[in-house]
Amino acid sequence: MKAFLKKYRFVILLIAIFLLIAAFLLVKKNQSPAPSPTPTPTPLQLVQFYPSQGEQEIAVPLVALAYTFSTPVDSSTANIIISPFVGFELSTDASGKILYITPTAEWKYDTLYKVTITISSKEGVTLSTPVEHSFLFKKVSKSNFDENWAL
Amino acid sequence: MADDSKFKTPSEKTVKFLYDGVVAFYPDVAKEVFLLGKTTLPFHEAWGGFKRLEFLEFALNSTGTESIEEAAAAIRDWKEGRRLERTIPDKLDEMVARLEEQERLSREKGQKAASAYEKQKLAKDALLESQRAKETVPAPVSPAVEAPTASPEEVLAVGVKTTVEPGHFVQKVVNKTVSLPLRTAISLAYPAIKESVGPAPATAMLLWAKGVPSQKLEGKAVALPSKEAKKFDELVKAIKGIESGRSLQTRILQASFRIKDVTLLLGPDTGLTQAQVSLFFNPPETGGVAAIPHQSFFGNLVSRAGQQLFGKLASRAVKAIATKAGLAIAGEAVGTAAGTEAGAAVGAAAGGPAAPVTAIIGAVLGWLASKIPDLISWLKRNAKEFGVAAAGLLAAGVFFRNPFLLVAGLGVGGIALGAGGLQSAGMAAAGAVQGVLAGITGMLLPSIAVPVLVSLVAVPVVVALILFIINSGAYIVPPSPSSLYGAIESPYIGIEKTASPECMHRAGCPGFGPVTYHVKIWAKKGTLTNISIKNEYEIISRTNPPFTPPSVPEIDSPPDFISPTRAYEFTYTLTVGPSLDNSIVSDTITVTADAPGQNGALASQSAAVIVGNPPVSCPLPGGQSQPIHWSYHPGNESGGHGSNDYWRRMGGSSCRYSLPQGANCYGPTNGGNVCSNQSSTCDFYGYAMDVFPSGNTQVFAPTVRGQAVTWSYQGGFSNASAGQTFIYRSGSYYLVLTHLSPGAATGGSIQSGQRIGQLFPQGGNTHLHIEFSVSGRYVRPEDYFCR
Repeated sequence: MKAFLKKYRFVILLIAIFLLIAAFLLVKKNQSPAPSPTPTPTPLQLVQFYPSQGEQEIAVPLVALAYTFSTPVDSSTANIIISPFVGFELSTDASGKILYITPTAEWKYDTLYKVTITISSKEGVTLSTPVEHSFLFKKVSKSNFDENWAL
Repeated sequence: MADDSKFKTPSEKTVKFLYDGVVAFYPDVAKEVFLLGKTTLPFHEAWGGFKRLEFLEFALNSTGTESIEEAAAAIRDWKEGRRLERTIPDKLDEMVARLEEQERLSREKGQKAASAYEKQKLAKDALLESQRAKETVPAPVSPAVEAPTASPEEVLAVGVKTTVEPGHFVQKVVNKTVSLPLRTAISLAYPAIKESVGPAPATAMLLWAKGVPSQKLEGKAVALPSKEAKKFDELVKAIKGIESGRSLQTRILQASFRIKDVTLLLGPDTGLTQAQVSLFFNPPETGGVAAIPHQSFFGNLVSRAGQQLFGKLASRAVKAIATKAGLAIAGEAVGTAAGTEAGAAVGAAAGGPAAPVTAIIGAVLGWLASKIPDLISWLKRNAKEFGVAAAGLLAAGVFFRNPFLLVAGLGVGGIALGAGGLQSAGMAAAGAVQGVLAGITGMLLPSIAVPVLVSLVAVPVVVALILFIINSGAYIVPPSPSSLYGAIESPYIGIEKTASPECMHRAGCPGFGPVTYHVKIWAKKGTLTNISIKNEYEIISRTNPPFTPPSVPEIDSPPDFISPTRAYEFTYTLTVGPSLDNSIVSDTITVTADAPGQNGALASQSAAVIVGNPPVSCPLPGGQSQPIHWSYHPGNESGGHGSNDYWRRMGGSSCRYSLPQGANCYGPTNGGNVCSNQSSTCDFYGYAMDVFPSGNTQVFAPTVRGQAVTWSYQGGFSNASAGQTFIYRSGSYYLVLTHLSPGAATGGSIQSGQRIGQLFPQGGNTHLHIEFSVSGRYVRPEDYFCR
């Protein structure tokens, strides 16, 4: 017996390893997959926006509105109402967090625009309350721009 | 706008609170609006529990105005009993009452005042409530309106209480007095340092200057929550960095303050008054740790004295110099260490086998000697600010009767004055300092060694002051013509120069041929004598065509004098042929003359002729521009419009205008910029470029990335004393050109290459400011023009 074991020890070892692997694979196959924890969706919030709320002077009246959200948004889920009506195009930046609303024509001066936005993130989370943004552009009458490189 | 029913007549106390806030945070506005006369007011970084930007928001919300000037006017009216029909929410009155109640309770408990943290927390509570009282707005996640209620995530303020080694009272007073210049400098400059290098390094500097050893802070972070602990560890590392780079000064400071132990205190449960705590760290809203410098009576006195003595100029200068010093501290460790080593050798030679104190003094001498040549070179670049800053420091020395500063200042001043000249004075001063101090080392008693050493730290500053005084004339005389760009206006010399025709060999213009120039020079105030006239040509072309300037006898042989009653006029011609096709021929005539009020008065004027289709990728052909004049790149605060460096260069209040101008964008969306906390931010903040003329001051309609387009005038506005802005559109392109003279093109179609107008003369600041937008979004103009 000893001689047998000594002569075929490598074969026995190989068979043992094989059997172990086979047993491992068999057990693993019969195991049901471990339930993965359900990822908690990140809440969607408005972080910044441009232009600011209310009346302000603007030199170039063709200006895109920009809304920065806490997570990337899916622009195809956006529902946007601009009153009074203007045509616009939607786009996002490379990160997907900034939503741009570019009007197809210049904003009218001295007109109060109200923008209402509902949108979902790429994770499917919808804004808890719609963004309500209003602004009114005035022509720049005088600028305090006094940069001086000679100081 | 807010519902007026929520508003009521403000209480006298509340109006006083707002009034005092404007005085503390916006002294310039206070002076103008409140008519405070010639009083020079100190500027406060933190006051009444508010930081400056928080107060701004508070004041604007309270008054329903758009600018601090308007808010101040409203507050003034309230104070005078006017405009009471539209006033502030109840909540603000309540806040002021609560603040006062807090103060009263503190006093009853035997404390001097509420801690900064407590005040700030109260102020934020009130601010939040006032926000709620306003109409519904989109809900940005703004640090300014974060809910202040306690939560596990809330960032705590951290106070540092220091305990000093027991020692003789006189010793303590002397130590504190002699370290005053450095502490004064850092305290005065703290806001600027914070703006420039960020809150954490600035806080580190402040702690370092107060002699707090990093080793005493090490290990303390374990008592803090993880968020604060991380920031605190970074702070300790920053202090260590300064200590290793400035080992000698560190030893001196630490020896002066002799801090035995440091205790960390978590606000708001510290139970200590602000006066009892060395300083508080604000919550790191901007990613760093910012300190509120300890505002003791003494500290306020220093600040007020400095401000009163030298006013706005000194404040600006001190800030400028200390900002640079702050940056240098972060990056100069190697050089300083080398200087100290060399100094040790000098000290050994001068002091001989003396006590260790003598060796240390020798090290100081050597360090000073090794640094003075660098100082001189650096002074040449920064003399103006440094000199005034040094004056401020010396004044502080005088004010507090520091004999060491006075002796050193007067002694070095005499030597330097005798030597004359910048370089020689500097070297003489360095040598004299070595000699004098080497002499006194033998007489020094150990008990006064440390105070003397600390005073020596201030010697370079005094040297700088003397050098500045000696050489100040160099900065008062008008700069040389070569340092100025474009047209130069003079109060004594008038110049008019025209070219006819202004264009040729292009649509609407004649073919090649002669251009006739007419020049008129006249005396504005009195007879001009010693006249010289120079005419320089600049050919802006894709090629480098041969060009021979015409000989003009009237230029080569100017008259002996020009009287106010009779102008000097002449005409000459230049023949333009095919060799100059597709070029802009710009020539500038410069007149130098002695006038009754000024010798060497100077004026110049340019005229340009467009030939064919010259390259106009830049609206200011031939102009020059460096990256610091280009657009802002988030995270790069060392150059570009709107960067921290930009605002430092511009002087005055940071963030005071929108960039791009007229875009209502006052700050970037990223942190780390001095304007990051502005209420209106955008992701195209600072998108603008400036181009400086190198001769030609004519402005042309440009191509866009080499493509010819047709522009049309869209509008414009005045920039007051900085010229005018003209806006042109081509399809989805909007081109905003600023600092033009009145009368630029405003009608019809304007083709690329067509002349638009002329730069507005601003002396050494004459330049064209360009902004550009494509399809509703501002872009960096240097990506499209002048490259």
